[in-house]
Amino acid sequence: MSRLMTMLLSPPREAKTKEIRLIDLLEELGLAGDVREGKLIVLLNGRAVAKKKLGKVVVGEKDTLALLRPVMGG
Amino acid sequence: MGAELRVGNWTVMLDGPKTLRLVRHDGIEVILPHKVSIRNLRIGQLMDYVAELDELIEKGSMTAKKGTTKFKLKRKTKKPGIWFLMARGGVNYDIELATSEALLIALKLQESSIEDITLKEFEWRTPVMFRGIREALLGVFSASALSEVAIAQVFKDRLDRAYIRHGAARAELLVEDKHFYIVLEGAGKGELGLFKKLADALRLDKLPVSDSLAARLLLGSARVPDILEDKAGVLVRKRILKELFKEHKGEMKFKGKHLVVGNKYGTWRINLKTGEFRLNEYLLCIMPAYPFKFRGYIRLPRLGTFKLDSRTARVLAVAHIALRPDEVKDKSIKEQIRTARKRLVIGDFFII
Repeated sequence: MSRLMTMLLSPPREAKTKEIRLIDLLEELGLAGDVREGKLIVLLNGRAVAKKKLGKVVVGEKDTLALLRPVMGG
Repeated sequence: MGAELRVGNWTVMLDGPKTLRLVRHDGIEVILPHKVSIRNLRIGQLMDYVAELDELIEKGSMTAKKGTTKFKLKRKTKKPGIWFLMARGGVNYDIELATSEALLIALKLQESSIEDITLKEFEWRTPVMFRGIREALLGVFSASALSEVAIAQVFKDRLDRAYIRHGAARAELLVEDKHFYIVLEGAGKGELGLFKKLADALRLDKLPVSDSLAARLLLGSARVPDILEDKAGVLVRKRILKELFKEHKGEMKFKGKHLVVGNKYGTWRINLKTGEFRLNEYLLCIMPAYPFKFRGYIRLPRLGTFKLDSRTARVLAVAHIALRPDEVKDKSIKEQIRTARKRLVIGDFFII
């Protein structure tokens, strides 16, 4: 493809990455209450998210989120 | 080694520490590989083997029922030396077998399935350091247990596919390039259903199955959900661990069925089949703090949100402890980690 053609063609559009606040995502899943009560722990890309930071953290499309039951020693 | 024992029409020889070779006066031969050393095999057990084999050879057929499957093994009248094994019910397949293979499978079908449960229990409960004792106990209680791995070899040579139906679980077991695979067609709403949704999302349509489990599935002594504690479980959990803990990529090593993590606390080892969790070979006792309904969820990039089966949830929870031990808050777990950390491991020995 010639350089002129490349200049005429519009650059490919980058898809907007969807982002959502963690607390909104948890509300959507109906699990916000369990997380606040400590019945589920939140791992975002492998790191635990503190309860007080739930409203501040934003989850992007490329993030991996796990909601797990806390464990205790037997 | 070299010693021979005459039992009825048969000469019994040792063919290795775990294998017996039985040769009948008319030349019929069967090799019986066992799960553990046969040094504790009782003479009564040998006589049972011989009686069962003689009866089968004389009658030319036998039937057995294992779980929901009926098996029929029959000598082909028109093809000398060839037997036909038909499974119907929970497991469905037809195969042709040579005489030695047919005799091995016949003995396995007549084996009590209680022994399989006993072996599994021992496997689960005995810590690594007592392996020698476990071997001896298994020798006493289960010397008769024939090796499923050897039986799997027979199926690898003879079987193309089998259809399995256990309740809501429907699956096809395939043999490809001498390996077993399972394709889940239906899995219900239980643990297997959750696992299938996750495997489907990861595009793992064809899941690997170990030789041992494949043989037990084909002989009706295992069920489809047992794949959760087999190679398939390991594969799916490995993929999720890599995705969730991508920041810790350099610290995680996958060795067979284990995730191994090394850090200032020592070496953490997680069994991806069972969720068994060790630090410096010290078994850590970890359990969920809340009732069963909170198994866990995972949201994978571009794939969606999935409920987790209990084993996968446990593996992720313990992997988090291994990778971020400083974040542990539970007092009992902290105490166990302190004890395990003091342990120095040299080879298979512990210096406490």
